[in-house]
Amino acid sequence: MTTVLLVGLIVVCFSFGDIALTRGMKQAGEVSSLRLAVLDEVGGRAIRSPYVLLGGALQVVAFVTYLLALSQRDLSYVFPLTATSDIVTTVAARYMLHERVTPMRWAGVVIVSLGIALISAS
Amino acid sequence: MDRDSQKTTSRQFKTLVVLALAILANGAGNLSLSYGMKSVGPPEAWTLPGLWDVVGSALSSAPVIAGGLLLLVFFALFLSLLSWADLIYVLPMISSCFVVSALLGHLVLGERISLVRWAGIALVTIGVLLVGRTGPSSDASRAPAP
Repeated sequence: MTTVLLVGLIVVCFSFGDIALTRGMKQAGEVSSLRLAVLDEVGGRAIRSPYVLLGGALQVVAFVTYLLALSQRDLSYVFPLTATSDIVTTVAARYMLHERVTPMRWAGVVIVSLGIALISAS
Repeated sequence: MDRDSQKTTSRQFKTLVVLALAILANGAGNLSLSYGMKSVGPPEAWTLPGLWDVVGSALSSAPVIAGGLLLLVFFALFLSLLSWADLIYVLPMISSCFVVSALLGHLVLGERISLVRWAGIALVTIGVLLVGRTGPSSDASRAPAP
């Protein structure tokens, strides 16, 4: 039961971490070219963005929780369960970031998640 | 071609180039880490001093440091992608990393790939091709057709 709770926490932190990172980077502005001046400017805004910092912190919490879960159960049990985070992220991105989720994208996300689960379960 | 669709096309090209760089950096980084950590070896004991020894020798191993730096480059490229592309486009596309890492491990390090894993690799590839057809950004796909 505790492993299931840990996996739930991992999924929530990964998903909302990615949502926060995306919102922060959209605010920091588009990386319009890979010139050093542009990278410096956008990068500077990114590391001062509360959303990017929150997203980074959530990813760290997710990773530490992931290590804790791995100390209890096998990788081939834990990792396929965390692949469900892409599905949570898709729903959250639809409502929190107002991204367009077309049927084609849904199909792609579900098939990729299944594939990741298979790769890591074997 | 009007200006809007020109912008969409160049953005799509930029997205694919940065995606390819990110996936390469991730694959090469993981390969380097895996190669480096094999020569560092597992900890002699799962105690604090035992783990500390592993961290120490990992940090003096050139392949481990190179791998870590490549993963940092990957994260920077991932954040760059998020500055213009949709999260639900980037996430599944980035999953090609699993395929690239598995293939690199197989080809370079001689790791075995089971039948189930080949099936997973095929599924991820199909999913990535589906998502790849949708275009990177909601804004661009909302733009009026030329």
